[in-house]
Amino acid sequence: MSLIKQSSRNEQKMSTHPYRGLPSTQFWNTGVSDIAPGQLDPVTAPRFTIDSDDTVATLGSCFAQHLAREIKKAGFHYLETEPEETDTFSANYGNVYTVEQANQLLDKSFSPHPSEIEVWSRDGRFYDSLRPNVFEHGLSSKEEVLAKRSIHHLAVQRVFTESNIIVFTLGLTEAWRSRVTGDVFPLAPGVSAGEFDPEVHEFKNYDVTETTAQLIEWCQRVHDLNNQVKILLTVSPVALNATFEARHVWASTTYSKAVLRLAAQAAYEKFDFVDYFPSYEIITSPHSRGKYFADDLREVLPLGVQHVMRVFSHHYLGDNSNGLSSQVHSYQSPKEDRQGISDVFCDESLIQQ
Amino acid sequence: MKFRIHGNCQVGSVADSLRLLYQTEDVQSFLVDTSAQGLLNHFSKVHSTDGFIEIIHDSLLSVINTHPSVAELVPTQFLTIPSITFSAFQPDTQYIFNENGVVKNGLQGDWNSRIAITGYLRGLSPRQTEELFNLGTFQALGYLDDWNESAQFLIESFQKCGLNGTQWLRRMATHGVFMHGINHPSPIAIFDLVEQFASVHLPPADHKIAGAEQYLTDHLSHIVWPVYPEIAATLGLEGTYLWREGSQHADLRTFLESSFQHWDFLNLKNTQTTFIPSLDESHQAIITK
Repeated sequence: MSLIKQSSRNEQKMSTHPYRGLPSTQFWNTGVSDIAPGQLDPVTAPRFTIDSDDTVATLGSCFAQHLAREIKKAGFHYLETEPEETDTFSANYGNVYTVEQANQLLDKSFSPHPSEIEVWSRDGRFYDSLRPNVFEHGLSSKEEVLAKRSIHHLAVQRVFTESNIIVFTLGLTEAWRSRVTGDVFPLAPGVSAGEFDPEVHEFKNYDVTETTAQLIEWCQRVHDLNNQVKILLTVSPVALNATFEARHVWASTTYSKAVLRLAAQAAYEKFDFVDYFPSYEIITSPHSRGKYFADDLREVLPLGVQHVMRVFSHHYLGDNSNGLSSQVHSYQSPKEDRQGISDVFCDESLIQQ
Repeated sequence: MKFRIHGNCQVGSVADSLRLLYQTEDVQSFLVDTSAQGLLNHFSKVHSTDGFIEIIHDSLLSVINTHPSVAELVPTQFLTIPSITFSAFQPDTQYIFNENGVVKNGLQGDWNSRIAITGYLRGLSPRQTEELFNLGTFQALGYLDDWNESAQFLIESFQKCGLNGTQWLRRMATHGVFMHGINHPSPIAIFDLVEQFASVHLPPADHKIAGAEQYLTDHLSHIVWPVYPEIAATLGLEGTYLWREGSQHADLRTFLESSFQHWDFLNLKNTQTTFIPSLDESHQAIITK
């Protein structure tokens, strides 16, 4: 008798297991395997949408440049505080690869006291070590570099006080920094300008604890500057161009992306004004079968960017998308597709030059 | 192992796949006129022969099942294999018939453009019609959402033949555009179907074929209907507006101009025509908005 009762209870349990009735997106077959090519949509519950009266700013790694371009193209108010110098990011900070760089950007820009920075040189021209590639041919003197930096700080202040949507694309955990000032560089000294000095410069790979703490600090600081701000975090799907760790570049890439993904999740869970957008997941998903990568298996093709933007538009741009609906909004010929790759500037690419 | 396949234009590739799988020359394929009279003629000439495994495309079944005179002639034992139809890549495909049969496009192919014929019948010029080939029109016509419906149709047709269409579709999705047109699959698409068909319905093949693509002849690539770029992009693919019919190629404008010219020649506006699928009013209204 008791056995029968036990069996009946088991049947009941089996028929109401915890996964029964969950949304189709929570299962691999219905969420991934059997989704039409180009239609993978990993966004389930966005925390906010972007409206036509919002002011959007971006910063981050190379991939952030794609997002900036698409947001502008969609007709949203994209904040450009140094338009005469750049249309790539909201201010001319260049690529902000690490979270520590993003914190440094706030430190430098909002500090009442200007701090010393390294000014790099090459062929008689001078470069800001914290954004060494924003002026293609450098500047004429160290003084000009510092003067430009002062102006840049004001522009950065505007980014964080005037925008109410900030999209931050997390790119790397590996960085080079100064042992003297503690400054973090987007690129190793000596690659595009300056000279590498092991006594002065050191390699740093931020681990998950450090990166998470840095990102939470950054989100809090941005919110303190503007309590209306919404932050959209995303992880760049672009792999490392090179690693300084004594291991394979692919192993370093997976490490770096995993750390950034965990940090983004921690920030998302801590702050209700932070959301996570899965650019990384869309591009690198098995569903895309590698088709979104260029021949070097690293750069993202416009087709992949279009998929990211399709999902982004659908969930975040809503009815105010100015024609950018849930589908692609324009046809690009293959020639333009290739052009799309070369239009993105990556400091990292200089490592192999 | 000996096989005979009766069916549509896919029979050549089915036969090739069986030859490859079973390493046999004893495979005969018959491209059949699928009208009742056509099937009567075919099966009255081709008598069942001992030792052959008879395979019939599912597209013939509706006629066989509704015409006892045809059914009498069909081999008493046969296997049914699905004919692959999948329109998600080329949802603009339209068949037109008049009293003389299929109305051709400007390149003398059987497939027409639904947008083109609607523009033509509404009195638009080729240039005006060309402007309708854009994302807005495709969206309004549901062309961007055709995958799931196509997949469902295909899975059901596989199921009726005891096969797993989901498994097939997952494999095909790794090949990019696997259809030259709505019912012209690539050779690997047919090989994959035949491989599954064989594993379910036929004695085990002696050989496991690696890299089957290298051994297959493409019997259907002489006609290519493009995957329009706007549609392709939603499927994570690159598209084009380049038609192929034998040695002829045409871009969108040329395709439209030649088609309009041909339809003028046929006096199509004043001819009784049948459309498959039907050109319903809503589609026409959207196209000519």
